Formats: sequence, C-alpha cells, structure tokens
Amino acid sequence: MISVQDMTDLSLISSAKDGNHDSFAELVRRYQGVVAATIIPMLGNGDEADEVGQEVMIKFYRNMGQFEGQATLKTYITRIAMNSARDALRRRKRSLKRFFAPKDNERDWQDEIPGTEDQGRDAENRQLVQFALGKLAPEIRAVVVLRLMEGFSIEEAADILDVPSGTILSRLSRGKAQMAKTITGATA
Amino acid sequence: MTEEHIQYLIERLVEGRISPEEQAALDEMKQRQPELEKLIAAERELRSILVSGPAPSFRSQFDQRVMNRIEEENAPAPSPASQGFFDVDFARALGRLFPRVATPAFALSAFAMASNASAATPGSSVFEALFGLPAIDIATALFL
Repeated sequence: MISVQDMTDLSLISSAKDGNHDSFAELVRRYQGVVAATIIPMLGNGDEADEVGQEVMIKFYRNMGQFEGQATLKTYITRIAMNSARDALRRRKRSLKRFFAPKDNERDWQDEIPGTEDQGRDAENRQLVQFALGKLAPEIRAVVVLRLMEGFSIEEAADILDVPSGTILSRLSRGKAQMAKTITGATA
Repeated sequence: MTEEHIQYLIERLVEGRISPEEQAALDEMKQRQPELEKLIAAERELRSILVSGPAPSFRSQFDQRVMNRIEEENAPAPSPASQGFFDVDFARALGRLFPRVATPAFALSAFAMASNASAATPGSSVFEALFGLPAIDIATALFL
C-alpha cells in the first residue's frame, strides 16, 4: 500500500474528500510553510497568526471540492491565506478603533523601530526591512509579500489578489519607495 | 518608457526571466541613465534581505492543532438531553411516567377539595374551604 508521503497532491485531495484524515494531515504538513510564508509577514508572528493559519487550513478542507487543478495548489492555498490575513487585519483595525482614535493610517504590525545592538549586519538589515514591511498598508504589503518574498510572478500575484497586473506593478513600486523611505528614516 | 515599465524590466532581470528584446531595451536605458545600475543593485539587495534568515513557520504541532479542530467540527452535535446527568433514556422514561402519576394525583386532589368544601364551616373563604383550613383572622394570625 502506498504511504501518504508518496502520494501526489491531487491523490491526497481525492482521498481526503473520501474522509481519509491522514491524507488531509499530509496536505497540512506539506503546505503549512506556504501558509506561514503568507500569514506571518502580513500579521506578525504570534497567536493570532497561528489561529488564522489554522482557519486557512480549515477553509481549504471545506472547499477542497472546488479545487479543480487549474491553478497550482500553492497558488490556491496562498489565495485563501491572503484573503484570511486581510480579513484578520480588518478585524484588528475594527477592534482597535473601539479603543483608540485612528491615526497613522495602518499601525497594525510592528510599531517600534527594532533595536540593533549586538546583532550582525544581516540581522539588522532583516529587522529593518521587516519593520518597513510592517509599515506598509495591507494591500501594498500583500503585493510585496507575494512578489518579493514568495516569488510569485506578476500574473500569479494579480490572480491571487484579484486585481489587474498594472495594479500589482504600481503597488510594488509604491511599496519599495515607502520601504526605502522608512529604512532611510530609521537609520538616519 | 514609464517608470513602471523600467521597474518591470528590472524585476524581470533580477528574476532571470528577461527576454532578449527586454534586455536590449534595458541596456539602452542604462546607457542613457547610468543610475539604473544602482536601482538594479538595490532591487537585488532588497530581495536577498527579504528572503534571508529562517523561513516563517508556525509553532510546532500546527498540523495536529488543525486536525483536532477538524475532528471537533466533524463530531456529531450532542443533543441537549445527552448532556449532564440527564441522559436520553432517563428523559424518555420520565416522559412516560409523568402522565401515569399526574392523572391520579389530579383526581385525588379534586376529590379532597370537594370533600373539604362540603365540610367547610360557614364564614370561611373559598381558599380555606377548598384546602380545609380553619377560619382565621389577621389579629389571630399575628399572635400565632
């Protein structure tokens, strides 16, 4: 008998649809890195990201029947993850508004300039870039994450976010400019 | 050539997807705008920083947490009667027993009330007569 580790994604989906939980667990193990690569840069690393990550997998489980294999499974799951991350950011914004007056349009990820003492240059740069990434508006951050971190093409990013390719290009351009400005300001 | 198109060509170059025609267009641009080299270098550096370091990951046993939630969702919903000490069989037995006990109890109460009413002393209220209570005034009740 073939083990779940040796099965293709489509075979696992078919088996999971028939109620085989081991098959779905294997899909979760295969794609949890893809979900984390989308959710964590969007929300920051913490309990909320873990919770949203679980919701992504549960949505995938419920909607497996709709996956027909036109897109890659990575693109399909990334789309669910990105939509869930944006929903979580909207929920977070609404709940913050109950307690604080809105200011600095999107201060929802990482507000403190990272400390850079006793760290290597690479770690410093990484922290600065992550800080700048957290300062971007969610729709711009989503493009930067998909294009520059996850390596999706412009067309794939446009498909995932359901916007035209031109919008991806303009948001990416704005995103890079804003990140450069934030990094320059933080290091000045 | 717009700024976005230049950006597009730089991305294609950095990702190794640039076509010969696009490469020729970019080379021509670089001759006219030498500062494009800096933009290309910045693009490469930004990408290398963004993908450097450990890949984002969830806490360990993420797959187990997902599967637990799915199993919870798939479990049949418990009926109210099956929760606590009231199990389904006990609730059904109670339902069958109630009319058997309630009907004779009601008949016995009606008979007792009729009997009390027939033996009631003159001047007692309806309540006192039905329940066979002695006639009593407020002053007596206060001193009891």
